[in-house]
Amino acid sequence: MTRSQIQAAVVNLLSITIGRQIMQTEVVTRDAEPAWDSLKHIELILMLEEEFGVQFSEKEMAALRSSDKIVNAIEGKNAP
Amino acid sequence: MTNTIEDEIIVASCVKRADLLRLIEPPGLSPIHLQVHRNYAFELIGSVLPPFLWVAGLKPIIAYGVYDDTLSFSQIDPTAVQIISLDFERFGEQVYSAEFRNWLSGRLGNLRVKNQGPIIVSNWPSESSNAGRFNFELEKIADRLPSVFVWETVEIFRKMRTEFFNERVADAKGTRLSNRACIELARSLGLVRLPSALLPRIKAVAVDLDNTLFEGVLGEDGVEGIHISAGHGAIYKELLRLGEEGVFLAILSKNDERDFAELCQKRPDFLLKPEHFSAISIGWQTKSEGLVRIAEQLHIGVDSILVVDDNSGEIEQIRAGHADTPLLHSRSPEQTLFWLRHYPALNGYRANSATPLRVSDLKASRQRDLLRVSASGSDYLREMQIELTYSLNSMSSCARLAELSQKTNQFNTGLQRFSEVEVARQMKAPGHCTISVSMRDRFCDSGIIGAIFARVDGDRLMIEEVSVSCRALGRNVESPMIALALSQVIDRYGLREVAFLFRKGPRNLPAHMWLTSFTGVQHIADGSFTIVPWETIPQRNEHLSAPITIRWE
Repeated sequence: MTRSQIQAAVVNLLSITIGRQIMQTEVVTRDAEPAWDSLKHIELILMLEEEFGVQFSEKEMAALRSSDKIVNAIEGKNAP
Repeated sequence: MTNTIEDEIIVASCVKRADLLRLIEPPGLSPIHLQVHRNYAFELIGSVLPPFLWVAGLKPIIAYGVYDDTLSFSQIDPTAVQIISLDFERFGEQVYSAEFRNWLSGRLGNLRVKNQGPIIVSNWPSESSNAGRFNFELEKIADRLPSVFVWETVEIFRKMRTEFFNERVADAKGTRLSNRACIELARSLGLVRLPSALLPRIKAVAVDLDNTLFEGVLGEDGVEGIHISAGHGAIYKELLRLGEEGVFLAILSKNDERDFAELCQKRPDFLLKPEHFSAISIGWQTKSEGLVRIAEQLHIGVDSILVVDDNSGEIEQIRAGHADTPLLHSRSPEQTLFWLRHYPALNGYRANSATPLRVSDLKASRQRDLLRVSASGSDYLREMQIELTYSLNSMSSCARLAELSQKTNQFNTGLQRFSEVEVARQMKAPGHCTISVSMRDRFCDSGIIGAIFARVDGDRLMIEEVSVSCRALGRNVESPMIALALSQVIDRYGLREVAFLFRKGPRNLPAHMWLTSFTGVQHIADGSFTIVPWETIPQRNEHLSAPITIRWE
């Protein structure tokens, strides 16, 4: 999976989580999105794990606080 | 209820959370308020619950309190559906004790007093013997309380086994349940458990033949040319299970009836036989007309019949004529089987004494019709050998009496639509007389077919509702049946007058006509009580001396 494919899928899942359409180029952060609360965050993690077939530790989950960080983390897990 | 289902995602065995959350809410749903009491993050179930409830035409509005192991029930919405879902492992060893069960029973009783809606309590998803014993006791606790239902989770656990729990990051998630378990639990709650607690049951399933009960076209491929797969066999077994539970089975097909007879005769792998069907409409009329014929044969409304058909054109044609008829577009044996097990308002109902009797009662009604032709008046009643059994304020009848109040449309004087909780409260209230009537005749046992909800006010009996199942109508027994019940209460309390509340509804003309005849009052006012001295009830003595055997329990 290329970075842009990961990016597109992450944006899609974040749009579902936050409840608004996110632009492909937009960087979304948890601090700036009130709708991205702790339960939505857990739901987002579950969807990311389903979508990309990866698993996140508790520490990693806490660190996924922006769309960029999520894409980087998934890219890292997918790296050969 | 939405009457067709875009079901690829709902049915999918490994549906993704994101796919459910992407679905768009359909218009025209009825809102239902749910109040959730839990000790773990039920929100992961609650967030994917809506799409499953949309199938039943319901839009959930969910309220959560704080995590509460003590079930304090401090702020209860008196009308919301209450959902109690506990991770019982959190209670440790004490959960096996009688004290814990007594505590839980007490908390459910406390909630029952504060709330009038259904209470759903999840059982313990485990196969341990301790959990099994606990779940058995939980069923007994629920059975003792009106409108309390157990949400069965063990079967889901059995299917998923090691995938049901996921202890990894359980603390961060707020639950030990896996993502898939949350989705499966939402599916069972949304498709089966909640609809069966909230909606009247679908009374009949009318199935097409070609490409629905087998692969192929009977008229073209012939009896030997059609293919019956293992999936079709599973559908037959599922239909037979529904039939045993009291759901009428019917055939609705454009075909030649002789071909169907030949199919039943020559294909032993076609497990369904003519005697399994309470109504058959096989011919070349439209499906819409056939559906009406089936409804007439079964004495039920077309909105109580689930039609299963592979032909989308036929589905649309029925929908155009009968917008409220539940429809299932059969696309494959597997998908049809799923919906026979999960279709909202078809499964998950508590067995009550009347339900399995419906099918035999319908067969008996045909024999009664023959008798009516050969006998008349009191001879007919005598030859019917009718036995009525009355019960006064019998708590064990609560669910059935509530069902009669809520679902009887034709012979329902008050249209009060009492819930099971309200029936239970009336039974306990001083001066209230709630009478159940069971009927048996020479042909069959019909179970509880009548309900009278009344209260004593001075020297008057205020009758808030009389409901009689349509299965009991047509035997000319309504007036004696009701007079004999009222007479007992009137004698016991020394009353002089009876007052009937009448509310006009779209379909209760038979109740209005009966009330006019029974009281002799020509102008029954809508929405108020019609008061009549008991002594002046026309033909009272004839009613009380009708050739009927009665007993009181």
